[in-house]
Amino acid sequence: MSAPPVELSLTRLIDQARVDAYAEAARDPNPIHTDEAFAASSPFGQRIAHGMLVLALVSELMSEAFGERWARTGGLKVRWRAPAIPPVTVAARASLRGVSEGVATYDVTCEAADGTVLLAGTASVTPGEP
Amino acid sequence: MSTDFHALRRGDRLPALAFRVPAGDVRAYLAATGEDVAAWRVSVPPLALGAYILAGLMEEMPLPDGALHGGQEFEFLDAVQQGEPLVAELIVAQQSERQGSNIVVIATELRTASRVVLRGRTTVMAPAAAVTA
Repeated sequence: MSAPPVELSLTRLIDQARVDAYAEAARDPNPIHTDEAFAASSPFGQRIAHGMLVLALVSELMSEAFGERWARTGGLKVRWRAPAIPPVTVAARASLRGVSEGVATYDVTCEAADGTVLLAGTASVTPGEP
Repeated sequence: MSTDFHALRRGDRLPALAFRVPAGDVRAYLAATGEDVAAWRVSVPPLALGAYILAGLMEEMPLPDGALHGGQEFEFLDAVQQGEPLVAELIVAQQSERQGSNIVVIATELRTASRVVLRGRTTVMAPAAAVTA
């Protein structure tokens, strides 16, 4: 087994257009993501990005690093810590915590540009042969 | 008939969700997330499977105002081909009230005709004021 990468990262702008596109593509009807008037009366006072859209950056990191092994052996365990309010530039990072019995475990985070942690948790994958 | 979130209790089963993810849906999903389309020409991005399960869940069970998707776990067990028939089984794994919130954990198992391809646990929290007896 080749050594898994130690650090993975990517940055992406999540703006309202991306949120709207995701709502349609993922068939998510919750108006808190897309309806400005509805969201104004929510606890957040404005539209927020889907948590799964933010999490998609972590999945992308892992699939770029591990290809289809991610789809066959991947694991995620995350908590959302704060809403992502578009437009927001999100930095997704994965840091290798260790490898045990062939499973690589990463600490993962997504942070807004101001340092707010949007989600945190772990991702795991069995890298296998190169 | 839709399911009432606040009436859910541990062990309750929700109606199974049957769906497919055709190539066009994969392209739309990747365009929305910004992920490279070239990486997923044959199979479905595993997180997209989770997203479609959640969408089906919300269709069956509209979430109350103030509900939050607080946490998520997934195990991806095998690649799914685009267009492959899928069935998701959903069961309430936990239900509790804490600090004014009704907290429900829904366990998911996604299968093709021949294999389990994904397991998940979705944590949803909503204000408990409207909890039914």
